[in-house]
Amino acid sequence: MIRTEELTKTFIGDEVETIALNRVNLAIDEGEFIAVMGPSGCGKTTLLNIFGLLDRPTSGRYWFQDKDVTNMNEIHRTRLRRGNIGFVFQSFNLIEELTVFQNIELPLLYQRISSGERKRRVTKVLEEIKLAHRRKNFPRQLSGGQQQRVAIARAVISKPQIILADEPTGNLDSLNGEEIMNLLAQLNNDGTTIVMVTHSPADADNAHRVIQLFDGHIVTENIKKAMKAG
Amino acid sequence: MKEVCIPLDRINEADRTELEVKDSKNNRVQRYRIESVDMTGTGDSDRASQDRFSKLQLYISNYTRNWELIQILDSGEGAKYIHLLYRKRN
Repeated sequence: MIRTEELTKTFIGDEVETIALNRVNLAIDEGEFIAVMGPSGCGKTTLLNIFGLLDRPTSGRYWFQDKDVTNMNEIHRTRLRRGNIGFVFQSFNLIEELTVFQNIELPLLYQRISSGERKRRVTKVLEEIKLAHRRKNFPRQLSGGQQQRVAIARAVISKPQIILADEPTGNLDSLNGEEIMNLLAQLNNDGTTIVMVTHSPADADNAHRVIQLFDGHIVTENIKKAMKAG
Repeated sequence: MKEVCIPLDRINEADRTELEVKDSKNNRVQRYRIESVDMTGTGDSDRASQDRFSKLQLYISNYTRNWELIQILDSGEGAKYIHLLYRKRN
């Protein structure tokens, strides 16, 4: 699904060069649930942004679904991102002016899916996240846990191969956080690959493999449990 | 409840800290350990980051297999000690 070779990312600001990722070599298989951990500023989010084709490495190579996407032009990257990669952020990133239904529907509009099909898919996913009764509400009318469930629904509506989640429970209380983790675990059980950045060891316990980053390097990889066969 | 935050008062940051959590209802004990890795000598040159990483990686790879690394704790830039949270394997 994902492979990197000597992946390096540097940022230059005020004449100081900061190495965010330093020669990262990593392979992630289809269906894996990966947790990426490490202290603040170790490069976790930079890695996720490169995986999500939102950023480019300074050097090294990146393969997504066996395609070398390192130097792929922006049009092709956008095309690959849409429909293949779903994003979940700590701060939900829902559009305040749109209803729950409209927020979830948004990725399908970009994909030019017909109105009837959009309605069918959004209705189904709203039932799955148990928020069908909230379809006409705006994000501000929902609790944090409900907003994150909507964000996950928006991420999965176009049936992506992979979900990239950046601190998905970071803004939630433990009960809502557990609900979100159960939802991600369920999606993974259904075959979606998940890469999740987290500070929470308890959330990381849901993963098959935990990658510890430090100063832009992979320090260690810990296999927590075996992947489901098939 | 998945996580609990415990204030650690007056513990020398260079020392090892051991924690034992008892779940009395299920008669289960989990043991945790916070290790301190001394980063003295890694300097603040361009090579500092590489040196700190190498030192930490060596420490972790040589650590007893009976304990599982759970988390590299936040320590701040240029900190003298890096703290590691381990959990005893059952």
